[in-house]
Amino acid sequence: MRTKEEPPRDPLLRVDDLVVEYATGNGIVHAVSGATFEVNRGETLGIVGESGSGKSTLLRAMLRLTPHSGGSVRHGDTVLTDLDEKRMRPLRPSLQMIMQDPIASLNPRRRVRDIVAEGLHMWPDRVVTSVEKQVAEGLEAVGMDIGTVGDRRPGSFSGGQCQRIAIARALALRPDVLFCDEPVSALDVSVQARVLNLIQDAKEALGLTVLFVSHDLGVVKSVSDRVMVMYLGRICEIAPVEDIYAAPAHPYTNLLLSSAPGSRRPAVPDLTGETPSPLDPPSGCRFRTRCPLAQDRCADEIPPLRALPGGRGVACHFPLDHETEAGATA
Amino acid sequence: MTDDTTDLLVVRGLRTTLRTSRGPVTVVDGADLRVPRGSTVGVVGESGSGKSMFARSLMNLLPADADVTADEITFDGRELDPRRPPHRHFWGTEISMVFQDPMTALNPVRTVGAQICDPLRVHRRMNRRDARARAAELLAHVGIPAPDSRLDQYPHELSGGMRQRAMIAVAIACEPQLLIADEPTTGLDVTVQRQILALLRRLKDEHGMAMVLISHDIALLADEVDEVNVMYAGEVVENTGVAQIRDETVRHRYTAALLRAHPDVDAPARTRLESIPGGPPDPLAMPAGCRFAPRCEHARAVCATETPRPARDPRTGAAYACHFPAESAEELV
Repeated sequence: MRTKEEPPRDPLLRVDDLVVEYATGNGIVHAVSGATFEVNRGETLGIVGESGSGKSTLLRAMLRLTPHSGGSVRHGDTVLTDLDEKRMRPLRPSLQMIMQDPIASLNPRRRVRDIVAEGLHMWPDRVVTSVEKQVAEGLEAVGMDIGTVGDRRPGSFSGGQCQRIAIARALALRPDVLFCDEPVSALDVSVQARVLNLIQDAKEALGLTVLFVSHDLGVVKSVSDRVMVMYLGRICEIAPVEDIYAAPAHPYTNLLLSSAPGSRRPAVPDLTGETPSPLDPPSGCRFRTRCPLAQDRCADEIPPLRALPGGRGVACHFPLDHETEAGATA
Repeated sequence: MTDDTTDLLVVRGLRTTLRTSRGPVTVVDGADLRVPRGSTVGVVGESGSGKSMFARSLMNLLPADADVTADEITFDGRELDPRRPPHRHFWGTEISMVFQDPMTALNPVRTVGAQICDPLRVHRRMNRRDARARAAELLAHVGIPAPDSRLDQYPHELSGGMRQRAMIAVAIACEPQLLIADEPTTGLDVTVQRQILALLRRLKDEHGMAMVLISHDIALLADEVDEVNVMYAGEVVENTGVAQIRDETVRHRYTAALLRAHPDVDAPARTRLESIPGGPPDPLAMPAGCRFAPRCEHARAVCATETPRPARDPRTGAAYACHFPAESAEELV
């Protein structure tokens, strides 16, 4: 067995033990518990998980759109979690977000040229050439011509076109990082491919770093360099995309991949078939109630995210045999 | 030619027109569907393709002013008038339907038990006690633990997956011969989706039921069905076996483009997907000729003027309507 090469590390974002908890009438929701990971400059990190996994909350907490209860988020040398809103604001143009619902994220009363220019009016220091020029460039990057679409309003565009306008709005600010929260899940297959390709092209042309949250395993595989899997507020596994799809180490990753439509992986038993409530997550490993490999230790000890060769991390006491298969396909 | 003894449902030339504020809109335009007994037939299409309207037309679930006509609808050997069922218990006992969103399809202010009892009381004339006992059996049958206590719960007290199981229990309560499932797992998590699909498969086998599975996800259909009908802009543009979907030897250019745009979980990582330019046509201004022609990279002049005639692949038996169909697997790659 040859040792796998460690992928190069150049972290732009570092998340350390991030915790997000909400108090509700029924108790405390453990939305994100102890998330620790890095995002390298210029990579696309795909974040997958099912509803309640905390993937969207994690993204929002990193952007300080949702209050965190503990831990830290660093962007370069800046500790974002130490900043108040006033000091956070100047950083926002470089950390842009693409939301799930393309129609709801655009103001229906404004013209496309004004929507795309809005950020540049709020942050004049992001204007490198001129507002008009950067708006036109942003629209051009998503295959739209400002002369044709500039004076129209969101209502006259389809969902896919609205999502492209939202991407143009983000790109006009010349951001460093694009936070994409389910950017194509409201779109039809024939249209989603175009939006995914645009994000990919913009990333390469502008050297962006991309966080890409999705529940769709096929979409994540097509865009990501590395993939992080979350379950019930915790990170299960993080690894280069080829490795995690070829040979998952965490039993939950294995269940997820074998459940995907079109997957040729053999079916995996799913003991309860239901995700427990984030109000009262299981002790120890949160996946243990559904895990066919769970033992007593899984209920007593929280498995830490351990580093494995090849840049993989897994939070499991009894990880699956991932080396043989990954080695064979590598 | 179709053999009446093996086909449970035969639909030819179904046309559904809705009245809207912008004028009449033909949402299903001459669609055919053949469901052999005991089979699972898929219908795939994107939003606005007419796949749900097709299902609703068969279930008589359209507004009263909708106009449904067909050259032929034969169910279980009987000719059907699309507006008039052969007997008042037809829908619910012979054909029933599972909807996409159980939160809106189930009544939020009535208990799950009451809603499973409805078809049993109405169609099977069961008394309250027998219906309730049967409802508990049905809940157990669809894999809901502790069914007796679940009967008195309301839909919002169940998880999404459990709600969908409860709706399936309502649909199969009277043991229909045909179950139409319209996006039954859309909005559910992928691990829950897997369970619901396994449940539908099991029920189908146990009851000898036939199923029409409608989905936007062609990979999901490829796992579950025997043949696939591809809808685009209100028309069924291709009917093909699941083998042709799996090995991408489909004939219609739209089907081929759809397969290439689909992010496949087993494809190599970081594969650039091929998008289809433009968007689906406005149903009030359908293009002349082939409706996919404005978005088709293989379209030539004739595609914009002449409606392609249905053709049949001599090797696979697939039916398609395309002037310049894909010829080989190599061409699709």
